Amino acid sequence: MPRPKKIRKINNPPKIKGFRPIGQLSRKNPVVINFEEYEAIRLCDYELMDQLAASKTMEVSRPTFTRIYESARRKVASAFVDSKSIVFEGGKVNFDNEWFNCLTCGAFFNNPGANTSLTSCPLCGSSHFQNSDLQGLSCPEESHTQTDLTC
Amino acid sequence: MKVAISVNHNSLHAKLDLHFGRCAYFAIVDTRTKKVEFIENPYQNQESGIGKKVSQFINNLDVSRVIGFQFGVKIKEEFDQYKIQLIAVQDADKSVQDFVNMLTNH
Ligand SMILES: [Zn+2]
Repeated sequence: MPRPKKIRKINNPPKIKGFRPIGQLSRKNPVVINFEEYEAIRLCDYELMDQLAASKTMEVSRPTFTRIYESARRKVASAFVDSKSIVFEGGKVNFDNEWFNCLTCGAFFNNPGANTSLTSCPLCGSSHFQNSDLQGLSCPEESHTQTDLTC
Repeated sequence: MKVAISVNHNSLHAKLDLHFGRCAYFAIVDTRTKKVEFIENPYQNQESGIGKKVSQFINNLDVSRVIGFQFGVKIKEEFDQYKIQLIAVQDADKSVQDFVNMLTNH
């Protein structure tokens, strides 16, 4: 079995699935930007953090951050120049603010104070809940607590 | 802890309002004392910016969780900044009394 990829922190996942070029049908293969790469661009070029601060936010080393960021920029450049679509895709990410689904009462709930991990459903108190955002995205099995999300 | 429920009228039989920000009342449940207070939503007929106003209003009521039928992305972002937890219950049959029982039975 391959070693699982290390989990990275991401605060705000992209709100859309990707971008398509205007004025031309894009028949070329899209570039796939994973959430880490998206987050690297968001932190550096949108939040205007320097790379050190961004690497700390994502909880990766500075060299790792640089590698992710470089990869992200090359993909964006390739999409612009070669008129390719951009598709946002998974990667091993841990959303700070995701939805969970209680298997007992059916409620959906989030965890905005993500520093503390959830132990029970805020409505009925059941401990049987699973992450609902990442189903089929990066976790092959049901997760019952937030710490299980590392798969 | 205080929990706000977005409901269509001011009684324990009231059901969830389908549109969180435009509900007629918020039922404010104190999970310690089990007391329920109904507060009219001052922004129910507001044209725009409702998410911002309502989340601010609820935050000022010292609420740490809200229950609604569903939440849009925009209002979720507003609540996120106050670290107010959202609970979406897509069940139009549950009443305020049902929620009080669920919240206080554990
Ligand atoms: Zn539950």
